[in-house]
Amino acid sequence: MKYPSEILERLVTSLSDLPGIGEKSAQRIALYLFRDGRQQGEQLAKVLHEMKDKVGQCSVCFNITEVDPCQYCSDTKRDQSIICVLEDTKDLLAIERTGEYHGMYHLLGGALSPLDGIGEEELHVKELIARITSNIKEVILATNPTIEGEMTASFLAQRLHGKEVKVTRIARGVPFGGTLEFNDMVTLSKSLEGRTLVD
Amino acid sequence: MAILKTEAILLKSWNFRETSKLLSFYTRDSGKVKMIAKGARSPKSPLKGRLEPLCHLQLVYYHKQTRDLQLLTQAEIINPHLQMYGNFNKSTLGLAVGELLDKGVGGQDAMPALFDLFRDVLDVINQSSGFTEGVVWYFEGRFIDLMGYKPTWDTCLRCSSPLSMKGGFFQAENGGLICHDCGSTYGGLQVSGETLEILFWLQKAQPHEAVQLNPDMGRKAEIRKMFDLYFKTHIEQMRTLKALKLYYEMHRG
Repeated sequence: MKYPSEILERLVTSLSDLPGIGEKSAQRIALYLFRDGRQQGEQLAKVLHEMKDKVGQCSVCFNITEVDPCQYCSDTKRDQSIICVLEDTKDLLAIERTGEYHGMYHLLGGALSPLDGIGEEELHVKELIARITSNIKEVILATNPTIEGEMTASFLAQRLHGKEVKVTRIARGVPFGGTLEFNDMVTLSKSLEGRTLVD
Repeated sequence: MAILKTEAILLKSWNFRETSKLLSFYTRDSGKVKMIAKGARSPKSPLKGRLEPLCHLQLVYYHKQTRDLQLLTQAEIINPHLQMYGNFNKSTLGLAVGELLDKGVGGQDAMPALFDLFRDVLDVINQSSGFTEGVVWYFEGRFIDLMGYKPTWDTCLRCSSPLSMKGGFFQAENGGLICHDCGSTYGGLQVSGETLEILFWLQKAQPHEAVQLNPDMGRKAEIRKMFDLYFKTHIEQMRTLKALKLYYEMHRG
């Protein structure tokens, strides 16, 4: 045994399994919780328990939620005729931070990645297709602009072909406050390709 | 430790820790090389937007013989293969070519001819507007040839008679085809004359010509099956290419 307590060792191992936390950081957090942060430790344990028991997935959009359907799907003030398709919750939080979008969401649970064995079946594609009824006017494909994200968007566009719904893709281009000089070739090419008319 | 400069194509990448990336490249001068790009995912990194699979790049990296993971310091885009982005067929077929190369090539031995083939095929897939799967067949045929296990396409493995337009039987484990007469005794995967004609033609074609093919469903199925069977026989732990599987699923029926 590496540590004086078996429970401490298990805590270090569990913490170091988390993304972005190495063994050293895990050891520091575990020792802090043991020495000075007992109360925080208790709070953390309680929250983790509550998360396990009460937090799940929305049966409509697959967002993380405590109530089903989630706060976005049950909000009647939101525009029910637009669905924004995203890879996961991180992306939803980013879109919500803009305060510009007031429609519905659909989370795929990732992007197509054949080399990692992620195909259509592993994503919530069927559920998206099932949501496209006559009430839906637009589907915004907002997957990441990576090769997997672009492939997924193109795949969904083909799957939605023939349905009476407008399918759009988020724009790509130079970031606000950036300079052209330091932008990569792909971003610049895509921003030229997607240029818009100035009123 | 040496600072090396080489042309490379990114095969695969994985996120590592908060901002770094692990990368698997096929390089012109050193074969398959794994690298780490520290901080490549941070918004200010000069490598941001350059490390996407199938990008043709000019790399500068620190190479140390004793370690498996080399340190990437610079990457300049030569050809981003932009048309593949947002085109499902092109991206899955491009990834399939990369996947075959990744699985079929083991060590770090340089094979400039294989690199050039890979680059040329990706360039054609990127630009193509015809039957793009034909370019993958072209790559598969040339890949087998360069790796040194090219099957005998033109004469019967048993009686050495030239294979006619009647077709033949493909025996992956024996590395070639047998004629119709021998096939009735020894068996194998039945292949039509039209399929053989396509395979003969591909051997002499240029990659950009492969998009001109217009095979029917039967010929497509035969050629796909032949290559699949052959790779499974000759490459250890090989399964049907995942990217091709996804492509076939999309084009089912």
